[in-house]
Amino acid sequence: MKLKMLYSDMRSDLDLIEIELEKAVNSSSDLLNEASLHLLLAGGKRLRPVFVLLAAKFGHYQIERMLRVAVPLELIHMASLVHDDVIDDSEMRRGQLTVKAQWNNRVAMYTGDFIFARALEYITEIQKPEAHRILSYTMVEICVGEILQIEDKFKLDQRLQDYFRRIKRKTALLISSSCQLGALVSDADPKTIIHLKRFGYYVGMSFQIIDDILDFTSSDKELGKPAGSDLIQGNITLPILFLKDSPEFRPALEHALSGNMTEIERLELIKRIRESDAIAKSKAISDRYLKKALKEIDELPASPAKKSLRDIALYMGKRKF
Amino acid sequence: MLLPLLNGNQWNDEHEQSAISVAVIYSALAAHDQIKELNASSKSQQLTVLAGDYYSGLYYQMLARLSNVELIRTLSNGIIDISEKKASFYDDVKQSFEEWMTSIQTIESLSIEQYYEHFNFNQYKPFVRRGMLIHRIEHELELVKQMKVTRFQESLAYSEQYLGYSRNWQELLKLELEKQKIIMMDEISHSHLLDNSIQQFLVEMYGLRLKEQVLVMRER
Repeated sequence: MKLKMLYSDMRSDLDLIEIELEKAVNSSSDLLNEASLHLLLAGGKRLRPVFVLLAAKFGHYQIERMLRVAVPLELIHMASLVHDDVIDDSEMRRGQLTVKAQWNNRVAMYTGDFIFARALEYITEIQKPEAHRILSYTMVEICVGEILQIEDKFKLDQRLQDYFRRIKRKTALLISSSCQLGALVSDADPKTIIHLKRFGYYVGMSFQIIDDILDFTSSDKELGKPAGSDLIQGNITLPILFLKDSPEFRPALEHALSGNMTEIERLELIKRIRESDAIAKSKAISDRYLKKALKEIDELPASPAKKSLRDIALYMGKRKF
Repeated sequence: MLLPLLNGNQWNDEHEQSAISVAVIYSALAAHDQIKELNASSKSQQLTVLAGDYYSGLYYQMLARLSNVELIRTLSNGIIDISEKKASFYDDVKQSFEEWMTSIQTIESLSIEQYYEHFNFNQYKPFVRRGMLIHRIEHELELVKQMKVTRFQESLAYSEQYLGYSRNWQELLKLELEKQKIIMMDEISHSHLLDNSIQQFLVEMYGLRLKEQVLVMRER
């Protein structure tokens, strides 16, 4: 089943979000307009807006109000992608040239700054200071996570704990905050807000682990970039942490991180990683987070949104790319 | 930005915290100006990208802690404007010299002007607007001396050429600097707002000379 089919109940509201996203990136600068639209139209799972809307169903759901939360969360995610592509020197994203590849790094900087500022302009329609404290804390933490990621790059000898702390900041926090903010802004009760926040955190952790697995198990075409890109860029993810101490893998991993790996060597290493038990072990950890996420759903009050949350969480835990 | 404080205006913790958050915005935007157009993959450049993002999060967090949602909105709106003006250097925009100067003023001083407006310090806006422009022109002329070409200079030269002027843009910048300094001096010397010590401070900061400048102005 495709993710979009899971969203079918929310189709009309998600269409409104797409319209609003297009309006949001509209700029008096033709260049910023084009660069932002370029990224927006490349698509994406729109996970953060979906979680905002679903969480809001546990409170007083008003789509006009929730747009003011869902749209900025997607914009913040988009802005960080534009800047990440500069950091990672990435040429392709979602099968398209990145902003930095199509224009240059400086244009990517201004595009990201523009989109981020637009996100804040949007969310300030929400007058709840607590919502701003949550989102601003999240944004600072995401940056700290990315700084740590750079510090940890190319270091094979790191702990699982370092990896989990990194992915929490990199991915889980923004999904967790999407759920929390959706519930908070729709005035859901405090206990529900906490369960949704935790749900978002667990599902975000599971999601990122799957993403890191897929970097090895998907094809170049499915990924829109070469498989194993994370490793080539020095990002040590969970499957690698399971292999780093194996005498059979250690030399090849060190070679991959040296930057001297040929294309044939890359394909060979990817094949060996796919065949190793590191993938199953990583999957098991992702499943453990997924189970915790599902348990949080059980604690939520009765609502049709519970089924949607469960379906999306399960989909994310089993997706192929 | 601290002119109201230095000039003896009432200054409380909110003024101070908000001023710091505006300074953080300048740090955020300045960090991203340091990213090379090509080949920014060094660790130092990567961390500079993230430093800018971190500062952006930080200014938001500081104002969120003050529950000043309105100022977050105003400043974000300003950053949109600033980013658009910066992008215009990369977009083959053709505009007059005066329009380029207005763009530079927006880039350099808009956030501080918005801060002044928010706290009803409007009377200081002309000083910051002109002062920041003077700083920027001086900086650009210094870079010219060092044979360093910026996107702003290229855009200016391109516009001048496109619009059919045979003027030397470097000379234009020098004349503009002189003009802005004269106006700044005039505004300072006629200001009933600024304390004497602040007037003197600004005169020194911008390398202005009261009598000489007034004479030059009269001659013109």
